Amino acid sequence: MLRQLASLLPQGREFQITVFGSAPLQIAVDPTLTSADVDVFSDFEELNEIVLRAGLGTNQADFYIQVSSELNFRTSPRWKDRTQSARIGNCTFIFPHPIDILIAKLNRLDEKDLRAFRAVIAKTGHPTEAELIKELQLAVDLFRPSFDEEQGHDMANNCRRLWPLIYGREMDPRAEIIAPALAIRKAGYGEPVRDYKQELRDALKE
Amino acid sequence: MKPLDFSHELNRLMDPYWRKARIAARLLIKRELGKPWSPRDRRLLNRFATDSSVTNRLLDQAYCSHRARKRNGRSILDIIP
Repeated sequence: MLRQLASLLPQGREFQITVFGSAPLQIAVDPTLTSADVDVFSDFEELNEIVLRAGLGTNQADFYIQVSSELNFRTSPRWKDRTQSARIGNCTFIFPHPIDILIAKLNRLDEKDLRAFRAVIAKTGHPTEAELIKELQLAVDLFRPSFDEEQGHDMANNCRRLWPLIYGREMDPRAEIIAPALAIRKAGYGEPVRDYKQELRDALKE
Repeated sequence: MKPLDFSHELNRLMDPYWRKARIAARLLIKRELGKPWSPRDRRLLNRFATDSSVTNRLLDQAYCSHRARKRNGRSILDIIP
C-alpha cells in the first residue's frame, strides 16, 4: 500500500509522509495487528486528492488510506525524536515509535486499541508500567479536559480502565501521573521559595 | 557631553506587570535597607499587594534583578547602557 502511495506522488521533489495508527505496529511489531485503514499525514496538501484520484481513499477500497492532519496524532511531545523512517522512491515514510502510537491510542482506548497494547507488550516486553507512567507524565497535557467543541477524550479514565487489564492493578492517574508531572513542571519554572506578596501584606499592617 | 537618558522610553516600552513588580521589589529592598516607606510607597504597595498580575515569580525576578544591579552595575542588565 505504501509502495503504491509512493508511486502516485509527483516526481522531481521530495515528500515526507508520517504513518500513524495501527499500521506502524503492524509493520514493526506484530503483522496480525491488522486495520482497515492506513492513517497518514503530510505537509503535502494535495496528498488527499491524489489518494482519492487513485481510488485508495475512505469508502473507495476495502483497505484504504485515511489522510489526516498532524493534529489527529495526539501523543507525546517527544514523538519526533524517536521515529524510524523508510524511503520509497522520492518519499520518506516516517513511523513513530510504538510507545507514541500506544499513547495516541489511549485517547480512545477501544477494544482494538487494547489489543494493540497487549500485542506490543507481548512481543517486546515494553512499555513496562514504570516506562508508561514516565512517558504519560511527560505527556501530561493530554490529560487536560477537552474543548467544548470536541468529542471528549478522557485520558485519565482510560488509564484507569487500562491498568487493571494490562498491568493487573488499579491506578490513580491524578496521584501517579498528573500530580508528579505538575510538580516537576512547577519546579522547572523556578517558583520562588520566598512569599514576597505575603511579606508585603504583613509589612503594610505594621 | 551628558549621556542621553532613555529611561522614559524604556519605561514606556516595559511590560506593565514587570514594571509593577520592579517597583514593588525596589520598595521591599528599601525597607530591608532600613529606610521607611513614604505614604506614597504604602499607597502603591497596597495596590500591588492585591494585584493578581504582580506574582511572586515576577517579584522574585525583579528583586534578584535589583540586587544584581547593585552588585554588578547597570550595564550587564540594561538594554540601553
